[in-house]
Order: sequence, then structure tokens, then C-alpha cells
Amino acid sequence: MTEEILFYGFRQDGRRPGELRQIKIKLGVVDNSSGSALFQIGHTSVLAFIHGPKQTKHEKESGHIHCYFNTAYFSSSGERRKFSKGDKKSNEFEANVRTMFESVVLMENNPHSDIDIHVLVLADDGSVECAAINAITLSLIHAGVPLKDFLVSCSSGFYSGMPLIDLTYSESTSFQVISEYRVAVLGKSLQIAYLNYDDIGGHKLTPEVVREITAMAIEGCKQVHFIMKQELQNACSN
Amino acid sequence: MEDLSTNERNFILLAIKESKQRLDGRGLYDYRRLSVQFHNKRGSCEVALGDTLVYACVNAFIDKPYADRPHEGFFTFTVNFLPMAHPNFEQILGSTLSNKNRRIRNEISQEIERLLEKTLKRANALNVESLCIYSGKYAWNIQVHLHILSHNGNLLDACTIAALLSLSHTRIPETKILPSGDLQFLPKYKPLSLHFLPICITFGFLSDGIIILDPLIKEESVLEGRLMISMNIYGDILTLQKTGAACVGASLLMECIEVARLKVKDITKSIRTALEAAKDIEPEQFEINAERADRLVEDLISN
Repeated sequence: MTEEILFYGFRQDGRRPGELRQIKIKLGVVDNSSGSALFQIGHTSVLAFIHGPKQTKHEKESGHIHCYFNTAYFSSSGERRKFSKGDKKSNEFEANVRTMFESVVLMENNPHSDIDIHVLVLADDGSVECAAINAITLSLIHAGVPLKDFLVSCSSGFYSGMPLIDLTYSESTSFQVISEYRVAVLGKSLQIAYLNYDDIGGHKLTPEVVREITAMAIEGCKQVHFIMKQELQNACSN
Repeated sequence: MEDLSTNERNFILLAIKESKQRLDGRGLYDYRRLSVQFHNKRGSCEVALGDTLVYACVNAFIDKPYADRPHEGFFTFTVNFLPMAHPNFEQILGSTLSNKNRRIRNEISQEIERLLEKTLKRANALNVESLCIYSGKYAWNIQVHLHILSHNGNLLDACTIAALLSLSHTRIPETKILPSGDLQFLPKYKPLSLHFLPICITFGFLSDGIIILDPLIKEESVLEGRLMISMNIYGDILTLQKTGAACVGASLLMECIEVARLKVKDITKSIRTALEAAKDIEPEQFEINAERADRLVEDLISN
């Protein structure tokens, strides 16, 4: 891909390197669920809904979190890769969501109860995993599940000495960019709860870049956290 | 994997917290001893990381590339669990599995295969395009079979090292395309073009921000989270993955990367000396018959 990534300090969609795309949040979009949220960031939009806390099938065991990650067939088009249910990438993400949210959900308040998290990607324009994590946090809050803290996520990348946040699809698949460095942090303490990066064969990530890119991603998470909190306060006051 | 009693659990945690001692007397940032044994066949080796034992072998044969990717070879990993590796593997294996499904796909094997794919294939340690011989017609199919013979913790690291060693020990013959379009093997052997040696280092997180390197199987069941760092000797980070419930600060992450950098240097050195010692083993004779190789793989899977 030969597209320009940074042009006079602006990115392809006219953003600055440290600027997020526009975030839109809707709560309670799925009526049949205990809690649901739609998280849109730019053209990426992810729907998450929760069933539970409900009684476990195996009564003697303590409760678990289950995650089901689906991608709508129409979420990406053209030459873009088709995701399917149960491929390696979504399996990995499901397992990660499970362990990640065990750290924030206060399972001891709901003993012997399961929480089912369903994620549906409606449109894919980069940073899907991050949008999914944010959507899950929002839907858990909407369902009234007791949480220790927000879990907010943001992706970041690195291009010619400049860290970028919240990558779009074309940025994250470009060989010139070190991408997608996905970080999820706790909203208040900013401790890293989830981290995932894999090389796509372009430029190599060095420890010095990790330091910059992590700081940038955490900065992005802070912004996302602020927006999410504001939206939730608005939703609750109405 | 292993179910610990509350006493055992507390003992492990207390020993680490109070006296920085681990079950086998190591310090927090010590790696277990790595020993490598090659067999008299090219591309097969046994890697022992402490008491964890992994056998790796590489199968290479000629295959037809996929129609949508005519200039890419095949490069796949399979992880096999043997019931003798750990008593709990027997439950995973199940007694009623049919012969065809003997190759179990559970979470652990999936995790290992995914990590190997990320570090070796996606990061271009071995370029799949270099495996192509004749676009759309002939390409090498490289299959790395990993057999876990004994599980005593940290399978991920042991498996990456075993896969790497067997890959860099493999020799494939030079090939020639005849005017008729057929393929001929030449009696000259070449190594696979591995660009670098990616090595995975696993850290375990305990509560209160304590980090241990190379966790044992008993320590794995008290861990709150794990961090996998794949790096090569040049300090390039190929994969970085933090899973589990533990939360860490950014400074702790940098500390882990620094430790990983040092350990990768040591491991790369010992891999290179092991390869140097085993360089005299004769390469296997290749036959043009691709069916034979297919049969071999089938045998291996069904056994």
C-alpha cells in the first residue's frame, strides 16, 4: 500500500496523530437483554449485550463469564478479509475477554451466576477489539453488574517517529505503520489489564517505541474514559 | 492445569513474597536450564526446559499452492498432547475419541499454535513466499509437529524453542524444473531461510505486582496473569500479549521487556551452540513421490 499515512501532520481522515475519531454511544439498544450498548468510533461500530447474571448450569461451581464474538457478514466489504465465527482470532479474543473481565467484575457479589457477553461487530473500520472492550464495559454498566472500575481500551500505532492513536482499517493494514497495539486499562488507576500486539511483517517494534506507544495508548484510553463517563451520566440523568 | 490445595497455594505465594524463593530454588528472574538433544534425523529434536520436555519434528513435502495464493507455500504447526505428559491430559484426550480426532484441539494447543503462527509466520521469520518453487504448481509444505512429552510448566517457551531448533536444523533439497514441467530434486541440500530466531519469554504475574519468569506448572495455577514477549536477538518485539486478570503499570512492562531482552540473548546463544554441535547429521533422502510424504503425515497423525 502506497497511501500517505501522515501528510503535513494530518492523517488520512484529517485527524492529528493523537486525536480520536468521533465516539457515539447508545445504551439499551437490545430490548431482550439485561444490558446492551452500541459503541461507534468513526466508522467502526460494535454492539455488545449481556445476558445475566443468571443461574449457572453447574450449581456447585462458582460463576463464569462467557463471551461470544460474532462479526456481521456485512461488516466489511470488498477485498477486506471476511471474518467468520470461530476462527482463531475471535477464539483468542473470546478467551482474553473472559480473563480480562474477571479482573473487573465483582463475581463474589453474584455467586453461582454466569454472565454471557455477546459481541456483534456491525461495521469494521479498524480497532474492532478496542471498540468491543468499550462496548462490553458500557453494556455491563447498563446491566447493573457490579464493576471495580471501567475497562477502557484504545489502539495505537507508530509511523516515522510519531505515535498514532485509534487506527483506521487502512492505517492498521499498512506495512509502513507499526500496528495495531491494543491496550486496555482500568479507568481510574490506568493499570494495564490487556495488551496485544502482533507483528504483520512491516517495521519492527523496539522497546523504546513500546514506551512511547504505550504512553500514547493510555492517553487515548483516558480520553475514551472521559467520554464514556459523560455519556453514562447523561443517560442516567434523563 | 494442576489443582492445588489451599496449603500448597499459600506456601508458593508466601515463599515468593517473603524470601523471593521459588519451588525449585530459583530466583524470580531465573530461567530453567535448557538442554537440547538432536536425533539422527534432520529436523527432529528434543528440547528440555527443566522438566518440561517437547519433541519437535519437521515434515517437508511438495504440495500444490492454493489457487488464490499461487506463490505462497504452506507453513503450519500442530501441537499434540500425549497422556503421559501430565495426568490431566488424559481427561482432555478423552477415551471415546475416534482415531481421526485423536489430535485434540483444546485451549492449550490452540494457544500454542496461535502463538507460533504469530511469531514465526506472521512476523515473517520464515517467509512463506520463499517456500514456493513454481507459482501455482509446486510449493513446499512445511509442517512442524510438536509433541509434548512432559509438562512441567511454560509450554509456550519450550514449544517455540523446539519449533525453531527443528526448523533451523531441517534441510530441503534444491529443486529443478524440467522442460516437461516436472520437478526434480537435486542431491544438494539447503537450509530453510529463517530470517531471525524469534524467542518467546513468558512472565507470570502474582498479586502485588510480583513477576516471575518461566513459571512451573504448580506456579501456573496460582498466577493471576501472564505476559508473553516474543523477541529476536536484535531487540525487535514480534508479539506482546498480556492475558489474565492481573493489572500492571507501564513501568513494570518496560522492566519485563528489559529482562526478556537479556534472556533472549542467552537462549539464542545456546540455540546456536546446539545447532553447531549437530551440524554433521546427514539430510534425509527425499523422493519425488509426494504421496509418500502425505502417507507419512497421516501415519503420524493417526498414531
